[in-house]
Amino acid sequence: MLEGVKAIGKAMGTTFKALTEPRDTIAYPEKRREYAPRFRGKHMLARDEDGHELCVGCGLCEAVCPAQAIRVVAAEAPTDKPVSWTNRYSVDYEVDLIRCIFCGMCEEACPTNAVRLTPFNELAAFNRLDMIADKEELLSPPVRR
Amino acid sequence: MIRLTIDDREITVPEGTMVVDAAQELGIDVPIYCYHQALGPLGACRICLVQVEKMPKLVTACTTAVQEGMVVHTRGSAVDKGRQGVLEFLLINHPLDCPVCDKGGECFLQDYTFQYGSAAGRYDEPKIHKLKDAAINEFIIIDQERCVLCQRCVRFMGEYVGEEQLLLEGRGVETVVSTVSHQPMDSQFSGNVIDLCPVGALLSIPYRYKARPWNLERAESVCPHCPVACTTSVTSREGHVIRVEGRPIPGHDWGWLCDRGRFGYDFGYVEDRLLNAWLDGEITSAAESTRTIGSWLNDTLEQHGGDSVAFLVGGQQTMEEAYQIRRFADEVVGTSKVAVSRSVKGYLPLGLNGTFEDLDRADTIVYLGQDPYDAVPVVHLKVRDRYRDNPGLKVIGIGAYDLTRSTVPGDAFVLEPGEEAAFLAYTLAKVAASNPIIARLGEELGDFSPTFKGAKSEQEVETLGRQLLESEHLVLLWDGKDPHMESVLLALRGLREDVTAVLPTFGPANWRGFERAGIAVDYDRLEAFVEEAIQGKIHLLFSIGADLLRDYPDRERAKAALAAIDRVVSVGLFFPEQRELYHAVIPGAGWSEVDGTYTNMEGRMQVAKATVQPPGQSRPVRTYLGSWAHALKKSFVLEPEWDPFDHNAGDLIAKDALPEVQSVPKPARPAMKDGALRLVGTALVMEGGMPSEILQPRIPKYPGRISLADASRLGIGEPGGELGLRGQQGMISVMVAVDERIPQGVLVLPYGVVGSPLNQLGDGAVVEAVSLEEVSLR
Amino acid sequence: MTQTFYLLRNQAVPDIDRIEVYEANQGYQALRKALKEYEPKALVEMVKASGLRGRGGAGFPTGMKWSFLPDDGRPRYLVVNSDEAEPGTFKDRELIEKNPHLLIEGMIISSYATGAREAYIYCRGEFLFGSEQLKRAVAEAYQRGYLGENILDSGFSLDIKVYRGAGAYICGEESALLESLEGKRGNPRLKPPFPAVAGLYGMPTVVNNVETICNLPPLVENGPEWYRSMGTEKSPGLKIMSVSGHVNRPGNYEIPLATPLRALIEEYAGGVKGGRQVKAVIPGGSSVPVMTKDQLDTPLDYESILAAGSMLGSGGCIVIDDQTCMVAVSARLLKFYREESCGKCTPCREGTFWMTDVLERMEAGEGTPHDLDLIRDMADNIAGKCFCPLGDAALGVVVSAMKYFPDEFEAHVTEHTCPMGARLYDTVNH
Repeated sequence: MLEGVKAIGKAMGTTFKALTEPRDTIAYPEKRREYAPRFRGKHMLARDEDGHELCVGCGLCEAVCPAQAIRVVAAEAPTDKPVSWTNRYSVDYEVDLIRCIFCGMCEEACPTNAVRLTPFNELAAFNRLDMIADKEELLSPPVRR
Repeated sequence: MIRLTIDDREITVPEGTMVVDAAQELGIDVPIYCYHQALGPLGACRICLVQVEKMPKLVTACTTAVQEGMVVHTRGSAVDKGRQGVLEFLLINHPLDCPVCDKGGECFLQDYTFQYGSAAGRYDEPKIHKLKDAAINEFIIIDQERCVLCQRCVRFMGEYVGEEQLLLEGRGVETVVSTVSHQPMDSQFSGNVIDLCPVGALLSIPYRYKARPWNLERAESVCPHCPVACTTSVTSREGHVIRVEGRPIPGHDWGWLCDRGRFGYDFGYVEDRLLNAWLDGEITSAAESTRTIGSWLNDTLEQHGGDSVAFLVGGQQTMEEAYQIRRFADEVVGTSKVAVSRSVKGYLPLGLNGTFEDLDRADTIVYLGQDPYDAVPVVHLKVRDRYRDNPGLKVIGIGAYDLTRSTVPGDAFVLEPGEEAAFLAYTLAKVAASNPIIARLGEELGDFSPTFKGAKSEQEVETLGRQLLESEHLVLLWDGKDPHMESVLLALRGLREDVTAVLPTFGPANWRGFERAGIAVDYDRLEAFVEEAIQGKIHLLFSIGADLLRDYPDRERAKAALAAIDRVVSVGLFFPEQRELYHAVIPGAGWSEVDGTYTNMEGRMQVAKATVQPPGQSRPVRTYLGSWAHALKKSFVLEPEWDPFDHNAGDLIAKDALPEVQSVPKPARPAMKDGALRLVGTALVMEGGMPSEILQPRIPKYPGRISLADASRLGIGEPGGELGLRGQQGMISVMVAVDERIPQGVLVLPYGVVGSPLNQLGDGAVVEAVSLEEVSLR
Repeated sequence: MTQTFYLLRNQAVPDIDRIEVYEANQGYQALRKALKEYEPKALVEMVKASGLRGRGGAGFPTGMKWSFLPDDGRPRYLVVNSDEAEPGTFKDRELIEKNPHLLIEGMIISSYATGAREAYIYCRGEFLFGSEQLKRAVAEAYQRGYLGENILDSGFSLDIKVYRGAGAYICGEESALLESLEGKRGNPRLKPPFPAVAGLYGMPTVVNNVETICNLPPLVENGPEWYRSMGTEKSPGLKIMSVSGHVNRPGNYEIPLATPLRALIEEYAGGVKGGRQVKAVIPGGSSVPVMTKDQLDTPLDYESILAAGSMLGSGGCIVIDDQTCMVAVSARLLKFYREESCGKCTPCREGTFWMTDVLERMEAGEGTPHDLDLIRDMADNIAGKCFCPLGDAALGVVVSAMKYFPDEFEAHVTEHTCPMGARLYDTVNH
């Protein structure tokens, strides 16, 4: 009997001790964790200071991607509106975020520094198609709140 | 033969071989830019440096001929340092814009820099700027900054093709490749410079920014546009053909293409491409059309029997498809009425058929009726290749206009239209009258004597006769228009002891393959079919890949034939002409969409692989054949074990016995009123043929050609003008321009020009010029 | 200083460019002698025996060159290379402008010896006056029966055509000259086949320098023994040296070979200007390595100069005094080669361009110590790897200057200025 009380007391002791200790979990989504600045999350396509797209559609990211998650279709940049900084740009740029393993090799391969992996990692959707990020989506990168 | 050692391996090669080729034979890769086997050594780029023992300096492998006992090292510190130096020099003024360059991924400058170059450049002075992204014609863009000045393009156009349209401009580091007088290149072979360019300086405009090598699928194919059937490599991305390149076959073919073959690949994607089935002018579902046509077939067979159904095939499909159509006609329908739609009446017995190797050995080449440059361009290039090897090559053009051109100079006999066969029979009789074959040939000639446009003496005719009889290796290129020429060619073959080879330059592209698949292609069958159709003996016609109105020499007769048939079903890539004559039009699949074998003008079978899926509702012929058989509740095995290749003859179709020589009739010369013109039809690869948006800017605006004298009489100036023509059977209008090779009184018009149907008036017809208002009132 | 004159002997005679005056001064006597007394073969043998070497730069024995012509009945051509564009060389110019008939007489003799029935003079594009002189002289020679059918009743016929180039230095290279003469772009041709086998229009062709051909009339007149009495065993005879640069009397001087360099500068050319010292000498036109003041006693013959690390070349002797910056000299000469590179082969086209940029930058005081290694490495990447000799020629002065005057080059990159304060020109790309 005494043994039992002792055991309960020990257990409760552990419980109460843990109550005062700092927690490993946080109350997501009210609170969010701080990530390392080099964290590799969702992709973005960058623009230069004049607002021109940096991506020239060279397709190196597509070639290097080990998960074959990227599709690039290049075209001659329209001359009437300044979309690209050069005469070639990507008319289609898709990243399949289900396939993507966030290795960052696309970022490394990019000769114009257009593809960048943002720290944004809140990737969830109700259907698979929504997980394919198109060019428009990538050009306006999501921000972590 | 010379023995030498390359990288410790011995090899024996013929004298005069360059070290680079000897190394290639051993599988040792020596980098090259400027060297090309077809063009010979130049020694400009200096990248192919190798070390030869006992030579003080590094030498270029492409300019050094092998010598007995030579010891060559293709790698080593000195060689690598030399190559690294050359690459560094090549890159100092290079814009280093690989990400936007279409050559990226298949560029020799990238490859060799990766292999031999240094990791970083040391050049930090300002670069020289040159012209970028400038079009040198409708298809090709030049970037002079990326150019390594290997001169392959310049030498190909100038030395190989003989049309000097590219040159080097400027001196030293400011040297650039440019077009002559900055005018667009208009050579039929301009596209080859894209294949030849080792870097991204000359690029294809239609392929611009379309893809990268890693998202391409390449398939070995064969060009479908003319009977030469050049070997090609078809590039597709995401189910679209986006590029065609030449595919060299070592020791047999350099892989040159004409611009029609290289850029005319988009006929599958033009707006007119059939994507749906049409029944009586209405779009319908594939299932509905199949059911309906199946019931038509069923009804016709029940009411009129198998022979009331006919098949008209176009001659463009693969041999396998031809075989399936024939078996379907034989086994399922039970009809013998299978004809090939053709525009010329001639036939060439297989036994006379030569190969391109004959061109490589020829000492005399005769063009009969047609200039190969326009009709079968790559054959012209092969003739030119032979002329480069053997400047003594005799070229003789015999036709209704001057068939020779400056790139391969020759002697031209300009005759009255349609008299080539009679003229040759006459010529042979002059030099071998006693021969019984010649006597037989000339039985019906009577008092025929040729009249020449431009002076030709009887002496020259006799010389021609001797050349024909005595040349060591005679090759004739025949346009197939005059059926009596067959006998002349047979007689010539019978008289001569040395090789006599004939290459048929006429279409349809795969007619020889159709013959091999069991469909007789002779014109008589087509004529018999048209006759029976007009007489109402045919109740259901399947026109597969054919367009009778466009092909058949007499348009009115073709119209009457089609109108007389109860039900006409067309399967093809496009609507046939005057589609109201057809009751059902269903979309077929063609080149690049079906696997199959094509046979070219030398009787060589070549396989073309499918690269893409047929678009929309279009399906291969065998799909339709299967479904119609199903509608008849008959079994039809779709994949028969038929291999067109003959194990004895290899990829060449086996030769058969030659027919008897028939006599050549005396040609009738129609009465010509003052100012009348005679129409001469010709098959031109650019003007006729399948629609193409890419080629549109190149297709001549003025396909008709007349002499300067006629042009000034009719008030046609530069660059050309429209002319109304009236013949016995109607009127057409034609865009014509002046061509100095055309004699007075002749109007040359290609077959298949949209809006100017030659067969409305008839090939060889006498026509007179009328005002355009008169034509529009007709 | 007494000068022996043979080629330049009549240069001072007024109106010697006119055929009457030339004839009055023993003109066309050698031709008469050659046509009358010699068989063509004997003439070739005589030229061989004389040891005459090509004066265009390479110094190849002329008689041997002639004997390379294949005897296969094809037409032969003689082409005289008058495309004298080498900086520092101006001997041919004087010969054709002042005494064109000497060249024509020599050409007739050479054509007779080599069996050519047609001869061409490829005149440098800038030699407008020279080519006019030649054309006029050729017309005169036709009038007097020295050219055309059956010359002087000997049964020998010859036509001479004068062609003026379009101003490219590379056309002085014999195969580029032939391309240009055929109307093509003046790029050098692949050798072999050499011009002797397949030259102009693919036919056997002899290409000789103006001075070489001008040697023939005196040679025929005086015989090979006389010729051999001057110069050395391997370099016999006379040579016109064009002296320029910092000397008191620049000009053409005809000297027996093996005359010491010092004698040429001090005695013939009157010594260095302003009493200054010789710093370096480019003895044979801008394509050859420099010689230093320590080598002034070198005899001017092909072998001795080669042993001294340079070449006699075309005889354009450029004297550089001790106030001159060798980096500036190198940069200026290299710029010439950069402009004159034909653009055919990579190392010459790009290498001369790059190296000029670097040298000009150094001269402008913007060099880095790394540049010296860069130039040496570039020179190594050009040397012996070019299609024709132009690439190597471009390096001659630069490489030797860096060898003999390393301190000067070092000073440019360490002190970021030119120690001589030299500004030969100020068209620096930077």
